[in-house]
Amino acid sequence: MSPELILLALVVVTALAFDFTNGFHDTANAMAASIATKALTPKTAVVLCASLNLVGALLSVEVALTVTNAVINLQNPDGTPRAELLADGGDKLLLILLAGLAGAIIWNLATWLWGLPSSSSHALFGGLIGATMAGLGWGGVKWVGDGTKLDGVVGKVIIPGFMSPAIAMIVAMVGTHFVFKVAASLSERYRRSGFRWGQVGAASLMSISHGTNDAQKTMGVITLALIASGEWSDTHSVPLWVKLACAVTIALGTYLGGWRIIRTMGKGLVEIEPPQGMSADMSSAAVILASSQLGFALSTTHVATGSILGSGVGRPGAQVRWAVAGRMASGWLSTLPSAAAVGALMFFIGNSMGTGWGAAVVVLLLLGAGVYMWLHSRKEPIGHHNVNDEWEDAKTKKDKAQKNEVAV
Amino acid sequence: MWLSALNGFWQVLLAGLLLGSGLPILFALGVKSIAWAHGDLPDRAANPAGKLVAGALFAVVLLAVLLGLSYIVAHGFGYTLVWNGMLPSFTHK
Repeated sequence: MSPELILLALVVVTALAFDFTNGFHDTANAMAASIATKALTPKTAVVLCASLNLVGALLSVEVALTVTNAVINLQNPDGTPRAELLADGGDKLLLILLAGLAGAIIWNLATWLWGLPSSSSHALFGGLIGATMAGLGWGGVKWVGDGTKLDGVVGKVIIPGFMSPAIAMIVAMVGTHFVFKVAASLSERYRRSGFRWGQVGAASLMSISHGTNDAQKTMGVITLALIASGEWSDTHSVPLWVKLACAVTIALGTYLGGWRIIRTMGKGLVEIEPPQGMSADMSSAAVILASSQLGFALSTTHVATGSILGSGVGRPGAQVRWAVAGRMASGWLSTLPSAAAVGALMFFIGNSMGTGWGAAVVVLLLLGAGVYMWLHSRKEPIGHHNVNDEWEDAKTKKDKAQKNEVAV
Repeated sequence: MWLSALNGFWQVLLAGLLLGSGLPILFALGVKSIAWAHGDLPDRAANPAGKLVAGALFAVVLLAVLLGLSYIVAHGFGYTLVWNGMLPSFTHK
């Protein structure tokens, strides 16, 4: 195997690893509410979500090759890499992709460890932006496009990042408010079983939509790497093996279930009752599909958390834990810059050692960080067995710990 | 750019309110109609007409879900949704 092929293989494997984290990071978006209201058991929920993600990913035949064009200048409008980036055989471009993906994965794992539902697309864009800035300088990043329409980092990522939770929150709040008015005279039996199917239906729509959107991003990045190293030339299609690999990987990630994030969204923000869960899920599905139709790029994660929050504000007597919501919001704000910082750091490290060894070191660092965070997560494991346990605030947890110390 | 951002905000918010708040309300009314049909509402006698009302309401929600599903599938194949008068149809992008 030549050094070029090894570099390409590292990029492909890292991209698939990102796809995997993308899967488990976002299981919560579709399924947190259904799990919390017990409309589905935790295991059924992840199986359903994973299967629908797989179907969604395989359904998409459209090529998402230009996915990075919204934020960085690596490609021509037709999706081929820019000529000056191919002068060295595409090595630098591949290293940028590798470093960017590593930054995105590390940030995705860190937020998972903290149980924060941060946006995987923000992490991917952030990582790539950071690595591009490190590799090509400030001008490599498309900050605002040409200013006439919503484009660039500001128009496609930052503005929608602020707007989507707000929109979802209003929609879910209004829906929940009236649903509870209607449901006020219903007995517990109707509340419990009646709203179940509406909720499962909306959650299924979100799962399949996630599969078509998110798996495509990884397909686009892998295909870009293949074109850069001369292994593929068609800009109108994605190699079949890339499509299959991405679809299966995102489904496996989804099946693993990011239980820490599901727990924060389903139990941490607000206690979710069945009519409320249905309103939140239908609100998310409607906002995601409507914005996609209107060409407005929204993050699924922001929409889903906004909806759950809104459903808590709209339900009479519900107690919203604003401290948890605040932590989430700080996670949203920090995702893009943090992933960018890690991506840039990875590029500097990789570049300083020469492309061949550098890429290997980046992958080793990524592996090390991943194993470290996984080991750390085992100290307080969260899985399908305890995802629905009573939520404890940081303070009660601390009090308990102190009490235990005294008892010992 | 700020104007187009604001424009996008209103459009998504309106569509979201219509579908994302409207459909759950219709669904809740559907559940209530079933309770009505079975005589499980505190202040009303059982009335089989409730089943008809519920059927109509659930049909509207189901149609919207099917439209959403076909939208996702069509997008995957490079088609987009346009409104021909009041009827949705799909055209190649």
